[in-house]
Amino acid sequence: MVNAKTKWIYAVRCMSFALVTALLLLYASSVLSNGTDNHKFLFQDFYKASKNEVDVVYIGASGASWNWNPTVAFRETGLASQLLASERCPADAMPYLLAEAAKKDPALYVVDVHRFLGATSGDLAAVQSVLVNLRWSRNRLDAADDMLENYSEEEKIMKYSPLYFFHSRWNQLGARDFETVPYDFMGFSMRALSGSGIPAGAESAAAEPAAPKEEQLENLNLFLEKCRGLRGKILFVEAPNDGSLAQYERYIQNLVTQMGCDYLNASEYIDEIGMEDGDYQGGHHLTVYGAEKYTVWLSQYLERAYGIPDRREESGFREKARYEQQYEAYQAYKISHGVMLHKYLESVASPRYCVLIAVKDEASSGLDERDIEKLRNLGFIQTPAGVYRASYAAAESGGELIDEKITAEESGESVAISGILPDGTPFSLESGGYKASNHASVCVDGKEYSVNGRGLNIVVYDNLDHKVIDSAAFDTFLSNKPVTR
Amino acid sequence: MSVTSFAFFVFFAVSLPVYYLAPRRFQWYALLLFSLVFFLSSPEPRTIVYAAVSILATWYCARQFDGEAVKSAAPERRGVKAGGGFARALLPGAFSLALQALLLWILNAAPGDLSGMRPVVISLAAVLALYFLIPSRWHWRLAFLHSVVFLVFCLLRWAPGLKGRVFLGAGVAALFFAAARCSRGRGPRLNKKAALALGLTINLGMLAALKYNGFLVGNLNRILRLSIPAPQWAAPMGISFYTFSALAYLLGCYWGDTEAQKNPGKTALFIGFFPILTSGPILRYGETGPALFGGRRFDYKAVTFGLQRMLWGLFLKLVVSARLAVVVNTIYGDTETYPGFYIWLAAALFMFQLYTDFSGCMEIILGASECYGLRLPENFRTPFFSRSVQEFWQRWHITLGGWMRDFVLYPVLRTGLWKRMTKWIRAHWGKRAAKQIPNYLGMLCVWLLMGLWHGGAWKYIVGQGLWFWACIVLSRALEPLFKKMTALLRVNTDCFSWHLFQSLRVFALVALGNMFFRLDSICMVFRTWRAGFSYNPWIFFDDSLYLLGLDRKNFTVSMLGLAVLLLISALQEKHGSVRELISRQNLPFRWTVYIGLLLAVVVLGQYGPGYDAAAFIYERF
Amino acid sequence: MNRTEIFEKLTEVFRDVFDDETLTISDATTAGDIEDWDSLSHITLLSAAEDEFGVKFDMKAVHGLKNVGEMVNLIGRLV
Repeated sequence: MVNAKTKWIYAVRCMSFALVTALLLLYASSVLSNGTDNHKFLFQDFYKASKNEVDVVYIGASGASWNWNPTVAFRETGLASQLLASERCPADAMPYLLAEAAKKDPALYVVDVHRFLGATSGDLAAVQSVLVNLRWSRNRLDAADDMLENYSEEEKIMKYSPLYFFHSRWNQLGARDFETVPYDFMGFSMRALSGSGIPAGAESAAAEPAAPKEEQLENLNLFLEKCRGLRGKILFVEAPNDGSLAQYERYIQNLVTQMGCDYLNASEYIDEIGMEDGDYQGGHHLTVYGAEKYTVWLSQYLERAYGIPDRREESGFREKARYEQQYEAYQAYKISHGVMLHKYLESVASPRYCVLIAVKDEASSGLDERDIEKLRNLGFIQTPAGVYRASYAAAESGGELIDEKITAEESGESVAISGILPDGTPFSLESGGYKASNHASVCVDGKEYSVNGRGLNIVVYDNLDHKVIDSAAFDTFLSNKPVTR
Repeated sequence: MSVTSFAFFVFFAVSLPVYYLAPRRFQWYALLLFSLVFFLSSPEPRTIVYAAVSILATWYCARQFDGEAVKSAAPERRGVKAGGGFARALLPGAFSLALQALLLWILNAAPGDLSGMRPVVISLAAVLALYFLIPSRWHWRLAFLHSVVFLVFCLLRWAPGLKGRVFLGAGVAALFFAAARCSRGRGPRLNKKAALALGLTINLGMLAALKYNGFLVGNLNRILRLSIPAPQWAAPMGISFYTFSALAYLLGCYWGDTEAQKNPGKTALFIGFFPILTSGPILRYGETGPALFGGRRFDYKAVTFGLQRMLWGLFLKLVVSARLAVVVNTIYGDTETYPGFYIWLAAALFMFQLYTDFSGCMEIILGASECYGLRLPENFRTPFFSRSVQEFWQRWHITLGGWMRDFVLYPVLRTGLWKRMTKWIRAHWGKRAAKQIPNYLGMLCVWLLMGLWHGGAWKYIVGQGLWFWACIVLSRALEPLFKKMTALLRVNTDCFSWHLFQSLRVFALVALGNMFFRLDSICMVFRTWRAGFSYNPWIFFDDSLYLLGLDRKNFTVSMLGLAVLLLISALQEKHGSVRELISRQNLPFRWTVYIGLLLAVVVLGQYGPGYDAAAFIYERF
Repeated sequence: MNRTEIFEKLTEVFRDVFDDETLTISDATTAGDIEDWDSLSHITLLSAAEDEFGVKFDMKAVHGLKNVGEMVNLIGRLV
């Protein structure tokens, strides 16, 4: 016989078992929900952000998270913003992302127009990337219903649990799934570290409008419907792009302006933004360097046009420390992962950094005008340009040259420099061209940091943190200057 | 619905509390309702009519064995005044009126769209009039006829969707209700042999027509050189299983083993109990019947043990079987690219796939039944530890083997023909032969039927029938020879290594036989055997096993799953119930095991988009 | 026929069917006690018993017999 006490014990045991199991399943689903594409931490940040500390929400897909850098926006203009994006986010998801954004009641919603012209929901992984990040709400279920419309009954169960989709991902789990990702700088993605070409300019503004596909228009109309009743203003923005979808974007521009929303086509302002080769990756994506410029330009525009406050001097703005810390981290990452020489040299041109260069073998063939200009900006006078197989060693700090030595072309001599960095740390450089020692060495504080690869071996030292933050070798013998670290 | 589908999970989660909240006397009604819902949820629910006919016929015929046949009708209620009889007398009429109203609703397109009240009033009045005109002792028969008409209309006006299914269900329920009332207080009307013939004909006839029509027509075409097209009749869910349960019940009643069940609803529950509709086990009335109708209180241990069992079944099916299926399909799908040792690997893996699939499903079914407090008969008892093929079939699909033994082998061996044959053989060929040959011939009948049960194709009869018959007969006939050899070679037959040898031998023979089950035809099997004679043992060492559709990690998971299965089977063989064993350990260990299993199923299970987990091998039975 | 006689005759039948002249049985002997007593030899045994005693068991009996003692009782009832 089962008496009352045993019944209670059974009941308690059952409930604790259910609780423990539920917790483990939640943990499993949160771990398995990691993917490189879904910006899990971006969404987590969004939900954690306090309502009165978000003035702008930037919505889109990769076009948003690769082009808008919140840390730079805050640094330059004090604009408090939040990204809400996931890679290849289906167009179907846009109205629901808007509804999520509305939970933080920002003064302004910036919407990446390009996303409306993307695939609706054919990519199940992209659908799941969005669903897995949205917090449980009526909105999430609506989003799931809309996005999973054309899928099978079994797949529709995905809307209830991410585990249903990710159970097949278990064999791809890696370190990233268990630890914080280093490059999620408040959602800004560091994927586009190199690119060439310049985006289309004002000519795209003159394209003949053409209507996009019906499903895409449906999404747009649903989105516009959800815009009504929102306190904040809506700005549809078109980042600098290749103009391939210009005619649809013109159509959308006409449509949204008729509905009373604002539209800004950044292609018309690429000179003002300062777009140059190396800032643009392709399609609708800028490189991290271009994104910086675009962000600065756009945030200045937003502050002017919409009166978004500058939060830098505001007391009690709790996020300030975070913005600053993320900005620092972003800078360090940008430098330590830079792959384009001229952009790299630009990014280390700051009083904060010391640049030490030692050449090995040959460093002149691949150097072009831009590279020379950037080297000169750093304070180097001679540069290895034009001197085939010369040995070259140089050091500078904050634009001021410390020392520079170069030999003649094809010289059999190596050069060596030693000295003290502004904060007192001793350093020594040695460089040998092909006919000399054929070796590059950069020692800071007694430790060897040089990669010793062919071409320019660059070591960057941070004066404030008192440590070496990057050591890279750009193979300037080749014209595409591949980098090794 | 498949037992590993989400729909079944919801169904089970809803039905369990409903069952336990119902008063004990009505719990079997709840089970009957669940079975009805389960049946109606199949893709072709109209086939429930076949099942209903089968069940009603079985119930009726079984009742005929109860006592002597009475030519005249049993004494029935006289008039309408006998205490409370007035309401009871009105019941058939009221029943018919309700049916007629429903019928009118179905015949008109939309509810409430009764174009004019006249046809309604006329038809209802006609029904009432009929009841007044007919003597009261035929009232319920009329009601039964009416329910048949109703059901026919439900079928004619069938439209897929919820409404059609609900009406179908209502029609079947009405039919059974009327049949029950019809037969109240009546004794047997048919003589025993006639009733038996009727019951057997209807059940076996339906089975043959619905499941074997292709086979019969195909062979007829081949023999008579005709070209009749095979009819595309859909077979009801679980027809092979419930027909055999029904036959067991019928024959049991005929032989006096079992007492006939008076209530057709209870008979329906026994024959069509929903867990068995996917893949058995074949029930015996004596064992399971009364338990079904008793009802029980909520028992914590029963429910938790049942859930643990279901979890284990899900693990076997979704984690192990589904993965092995991928490898087997790849190899058999292209035997030119995968000759030699691949073939034998596929044969072995197919055995494991079949076992984990079938026994996994069985664990889910038995676990679910245990949650309702019912212990259904086991169908598997660690079959791979058997020492001989005969023992294998006492451990694999136990209920089918038992059924064949009790209802085919025994009756056959006890017929006059067999007895005369035995005498003849004893006279001409000696006592030895007389002991063996009649048995072998009896077994031949059994095995041919076994083969046929597995499917209507010659490959089943040969591969699942004759092959195993040959193995068993040879092993029995050669037994004295083997005994001499083992004695001569001083083989120790009482040790682990000998048992292992025997198990491997059985495994090999069964795996070869099951190649007929898996491959498309007998020619295909011989071709595959021939392809298996190339020499390529390096495939086990050069990572080519990871190119068969499963990557390294998934392949490892499937092997680990088999290892876990081996461990559990060994424990079962030694200690009996593993669940008992685990429940005696401390809480952290127990919970780790259960949660680990659950996580394994949820994370590693093959289900969802891209996986055809619902395609269970035995589901088409 | 009394019980002892039936028992003796039955022992003969057993010895014949299982080909073992030294076999002994008691009322409590079941199928598990004799090595070769499986489902097939069960039927052979029953048929041989039927022939020996001139009786006919019905199917109910065939399924229901649990041990030798019950078999002896059944024969006693039918003879």
